[in-house]
Amino acid sequence: MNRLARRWPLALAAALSWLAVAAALADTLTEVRSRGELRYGNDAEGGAPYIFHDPAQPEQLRGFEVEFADALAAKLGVKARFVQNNWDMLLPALGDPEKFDLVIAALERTPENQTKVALSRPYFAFGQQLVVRRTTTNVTTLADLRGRRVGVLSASASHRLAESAGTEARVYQDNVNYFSDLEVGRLDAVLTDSPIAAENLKSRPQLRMAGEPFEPGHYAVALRPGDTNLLAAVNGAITALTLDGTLQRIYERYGLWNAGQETLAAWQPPADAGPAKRRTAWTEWRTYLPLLLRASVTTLWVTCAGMVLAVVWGLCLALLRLYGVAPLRWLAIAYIEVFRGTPLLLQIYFIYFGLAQQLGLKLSAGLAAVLSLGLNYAANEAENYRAGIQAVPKGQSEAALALGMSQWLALRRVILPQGLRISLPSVTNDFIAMFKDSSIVSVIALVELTKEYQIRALDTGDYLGLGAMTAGIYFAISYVASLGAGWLERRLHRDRR
Amino acid sequence: MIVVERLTKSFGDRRVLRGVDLTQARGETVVFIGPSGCGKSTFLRCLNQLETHDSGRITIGDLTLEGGRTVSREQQRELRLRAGMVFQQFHLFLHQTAVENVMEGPLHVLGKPRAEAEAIARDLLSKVGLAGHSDHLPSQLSGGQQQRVAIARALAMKPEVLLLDEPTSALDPELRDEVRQVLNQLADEGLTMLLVTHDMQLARQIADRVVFLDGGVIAEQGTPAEVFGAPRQARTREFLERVH
Repeated sequence: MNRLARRWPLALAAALSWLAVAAALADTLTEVRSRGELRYGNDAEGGAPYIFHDPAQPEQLRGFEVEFADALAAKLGVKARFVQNNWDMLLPALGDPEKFDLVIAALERTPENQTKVALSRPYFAFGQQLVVRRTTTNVTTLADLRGRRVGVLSASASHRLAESAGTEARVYQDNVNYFSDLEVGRLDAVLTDSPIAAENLKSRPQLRMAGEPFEPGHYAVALRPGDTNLLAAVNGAITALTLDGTLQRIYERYGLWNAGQETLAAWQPPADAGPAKRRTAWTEWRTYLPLLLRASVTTLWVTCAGMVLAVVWGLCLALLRLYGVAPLRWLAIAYIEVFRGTPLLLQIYFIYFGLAQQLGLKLSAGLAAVLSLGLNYAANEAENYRAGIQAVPKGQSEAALALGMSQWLALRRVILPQGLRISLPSVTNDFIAMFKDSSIVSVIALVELTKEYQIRALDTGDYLGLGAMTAGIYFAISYVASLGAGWLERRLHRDRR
Repeated sequence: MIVVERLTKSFGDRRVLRGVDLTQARGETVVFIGPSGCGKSTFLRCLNQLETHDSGRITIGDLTLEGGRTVSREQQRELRLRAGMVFQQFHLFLHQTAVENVMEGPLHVLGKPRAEAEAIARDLLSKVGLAGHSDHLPSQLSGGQQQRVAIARALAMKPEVLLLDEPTSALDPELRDEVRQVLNQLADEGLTMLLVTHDMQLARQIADRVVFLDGGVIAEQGTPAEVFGAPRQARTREFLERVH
């Protein structure tokens, strides 16, 4: 074998690694220019005045961020293209160059965000605004709300401020539902970015602003950390847009131009405090593990209470379906089909928000979670019981009746004890399924395990480590529950020995 | 005393019983034989109201049930308290031990105290030779043992008549004898029994009277010696030749 032949694998490896390095260095700015398109990530659910669908032309996107993106792209000599992405996941998604080049989505210029991505100079200035009901008195600052319920957006500056001021912060995934909850009295106040407050109060006459905006902050464009050329170009474009009055014209159209925006031109980056240390699940497990474990207690009690409701109500439904008189039987069938045939998420929204708005029935988040899970799973349990009861041989009920038992006594003494044992494995499976499904109740501001994970992952950006930790807790509890279920089945199935 | 008058029963278009009359004295053991589908099991199930009769009259002791729609659940229950039932497939309550099966009726239907119900049950289990198996579950008992528990369960209600639907048919031949012996003993003690069976050996052993049912009507009846020894009807002879 000659020397060249022996060396060619080495040569190939060298060529491949050169290709890999070249690909990594490929400049996003160059790509944007050759493509003629700047792709930016945002969430169209952000709402007015940021980004929203024009009510007159639902295909058309409007909002000051849309117009800012168009102006920014124009300065770079290209067209802007909007890419839809869930707001919570915008920064993780930025890691994938296939999706978009940068993020323009009311992202705050905070030290936390700077550890995760590269941030441009600010394109918008805002403050924190307190919102209360018109009937509320004696609230002008956050300090007046110590120990009271304040709605905030998950992982926002408002969230941190509300927590450090000692209020009871209720965390939401969007900028709309906390206003509804404030109106119906589930919250004492909302703390939010000033543009959001201004926009939402237009359509909510029962609410008013309390005090002046405070804690000024900035929105910035987020880029991948390596894209230094694109960052420089974006910063240059923003400076130009600020100086030539383009930004002012855009913001004035939305009634957002104010003294704060006038400081943008003079903005200087704060003195570099050195790279902030990235927090991860493993370096700070002493902080995060107890937080997650505490949240798992909420998950557990919601599941247990929900299951008790599902088991009891499900049995009533099964008996009505099998033995009830005609109208009750139909009602039971209709209930089962409707609750099995519609999404649990929809039922949660209906019970928590719908009942409060239409009937004034203001359930707490915990009670609404237990009710939603219980009422939904009751339909499944009813069908489990029905299958179990119908699997009891017909001879069993004949033998019971032949002894002179009434229908009810035969059911109670002979049919149910056997039928419920047959359905037991399905019921214990459902318990474990509900334990995992309970993560859905995070949408109604109940901080259970999945919600706690979302909050902390957004804080740190450590989706993987915290995710593994959270999954570990879910798995450990499910596994213990399934061991317990096996033990229970063995004990109760003595007639199957 | 059982009196059945002009009993009829149809399933849809199929007329299974076309007017059956029977008078059975206290202490008498009557055995119904006949080809499959002749209506003998349906007849027995009507006596216990597991099937409701279309017309005719059933009297057991002081209770009379007229056929048709007028029979209430309460009347059916009253009749069942007078007529205990033993099934071909035993139908023991699978989640209960032998003694619990036998106690179930006295305890929950008759409302007797637990101690008394248990005493009745243990007594009856030893009578059918299963004193040592009281705490076994049905799945731990052989077919013959299960059928003897089922007989004890029916007797615990102190019925006026014991109805038995093919009590030995589901059993392996070597297990049939233990059930035959128990039934023989009960017949000797003067229990009123009405059996449906294909087991001719059992019929010969315990019947005071044999009834041959064919096509939903009684074709012939008499003592075992008369029916088995000298059948008068041609179809009785044919049937007996086929089962022997």
